[in-house]
Amino acid sequence: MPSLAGMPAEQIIESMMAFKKGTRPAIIMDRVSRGYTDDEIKTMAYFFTKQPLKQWDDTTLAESVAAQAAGSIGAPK
Amino acid sequence: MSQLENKTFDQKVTRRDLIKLFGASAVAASGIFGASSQAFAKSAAHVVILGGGIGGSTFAKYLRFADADVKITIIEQYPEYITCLRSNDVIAGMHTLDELTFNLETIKSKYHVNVVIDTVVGADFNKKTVRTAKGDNFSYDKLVVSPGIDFKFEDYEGYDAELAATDFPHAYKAGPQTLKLREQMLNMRQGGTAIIAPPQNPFRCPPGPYERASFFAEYFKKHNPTAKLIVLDPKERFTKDVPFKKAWERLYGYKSDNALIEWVAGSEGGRVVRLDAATKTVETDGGDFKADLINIIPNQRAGVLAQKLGLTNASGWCSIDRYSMESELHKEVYVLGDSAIADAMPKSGFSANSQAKVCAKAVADTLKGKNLEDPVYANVCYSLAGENYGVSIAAVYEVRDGLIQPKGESAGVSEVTELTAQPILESVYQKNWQRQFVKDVFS
Ligand SMILES: Cc1cc2nc3c(=O)[nH]c(=O)nc-3n(C[C@H](O)[C@H](O)[C@H](O)COP(=O)(O)OP(=O)(O)OC[C@H]3O[C@@H](n4cnc5c(N)ncnc54)[C@H](O)[C@@H]3O)c2cc1C
Ligand code: HEM
Repeated sequence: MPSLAGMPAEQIIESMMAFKKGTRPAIIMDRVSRGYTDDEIKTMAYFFTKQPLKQWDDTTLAESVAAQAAGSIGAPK
Repeated sequence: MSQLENKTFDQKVTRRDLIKLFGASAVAASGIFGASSQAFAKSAAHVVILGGGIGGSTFAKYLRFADADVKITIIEQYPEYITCLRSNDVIAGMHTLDELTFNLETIKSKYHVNVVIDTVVGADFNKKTVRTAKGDNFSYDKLVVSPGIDFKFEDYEGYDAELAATDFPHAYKAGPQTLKLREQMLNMRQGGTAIIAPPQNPFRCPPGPYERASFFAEYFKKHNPTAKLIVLDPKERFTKDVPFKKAWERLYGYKSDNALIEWVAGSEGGRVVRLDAATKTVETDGGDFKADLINIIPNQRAGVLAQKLGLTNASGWCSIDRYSMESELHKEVYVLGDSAIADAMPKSGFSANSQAKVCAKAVADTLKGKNLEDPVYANVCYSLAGENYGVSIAAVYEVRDGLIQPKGESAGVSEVTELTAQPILESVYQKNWQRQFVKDVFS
């Protein structure tokens, strides 16, 4: 699954407009997209497109706990 | 999509199915301020946070993103935090409590936050100091309070904290009670009756009791098919009741002769007023119910600490300025999460996290003498109505007419459709969301 970070702005904007109109099927984004004006969507799209490209990580819960532990000084639980 | 439509509502989904259905997809999980960190100047302002749960931990991290120089201290009573999020899964045996346990070590080391493990016992708002059980005093420039909830046992004759800690767990703060409730469910006799009694509004995690009810029914379906779960509710409706009840029909025979789950509304006598622990009976407005397992989730109010500090109003909750989360009762004190009155926003971890980000920006801007911007909040509550069946409610929020209200046409619950893939995908996204979420809060 792609992460929004580094995604071309046009692609984000097009997806959001399609979610808004209902032409792209969605589980959550139908509702989330209708919460933002077109200008807000553009602002977010330009923000995300400037972020370093990041691979979507399909983490497990154990990995989330490990990620937290790895960044810490002390031993994790 | 055709391949998915042929299957039932009770199935696992593969990654390939997902891609076939929607193509690729993503969840936004990027920082909003851009991080920086460095040693603080002596003159830097000191922001003290009481409670290092979802609200407090998120706030510390995002305040650091917004201000590299401010001095930040979190005072949290326990060295470890067990997230309530997905704790119903522990009852169902899908996770262990260890998988839900986090600490503040990363917040401390990565974001240069001073973490103190101690219980806060009081504050002096004039001198701007807080006091802990160990007798230490901390002075602050800004105080942020995110202490979670407290239970109103007094609303139920015969029920109290001691019974909750022993034979009648509410399991509405994740921990030993969660495991106890699981044990009781596993040990229930064949053909027995279990009761879940959800609280009156407002309360933490509005879909939580109904997700839990679903898991009981799912467990009974597999291991105790003649057992029955009765939900005794003081309310007429509950969050996501339309998709929840649809799921119960599809999965647990809801409303049929051999339903595994029954729901009693307040007007039908669902409100529990008394517990007789000795005979395992609850009295409701409609009469007595005897059961093998009783899970009363009590009515709630703001966390004890918020009450003690005088931050609550007559409702038992903390009124706040909607633009900054600053208390309406005490200047320079901010209240986040479950304890705060946030109007249309439900009391969820997602909400606490969103409020913490808005508040972090407001505190940083105020310290820099800048004007506050109009905030945008968001909440998505995902729940499971079965291990592979998700339902959701979502909204983006703004301040309108002095209240936090849904923005645009964003508010809504999952549509009920005949697409079998939809609830399956919701369950997949929900599990992924939770994993990303705890990273956002604690690392
Ligand atoms: C069964 C269940 C399932 C849930 N599922 C979800 C979900 O899927 N998604 C979701 O978004 N939300 C979920 N929630 C809700 C979520 O857990 C809460 O809304 C969230 O934790 C609120 O954050 P908070 O910061 O207000 O309080 P908390 O996270 O409870 O943090 C409060 C902290 O303050 C500390 N504290 C309190 N008093 C003191 C004191 N005097 N001194 C020092 N420290 C103190 C506590 O130890 C605690 O660490 C669920 C809740 C339950 C019960
Ligand atoms: C509020 C929290 C959010 C959640 C929980 C969320 C969740 C999701 C989910 C589940 C999907 C898959 C599609 C679906 O089934 O709906 C998705 C896709 C997407 N989201 Fe969000 N989202 C959120 C916020 C946002 C925001 C604020 C933006 C603003 C730009 C955004 C932009 C997108 C885009 C562009 C996609 C499509 C990605 C692709 O496949 O090309 N999301 N999101």
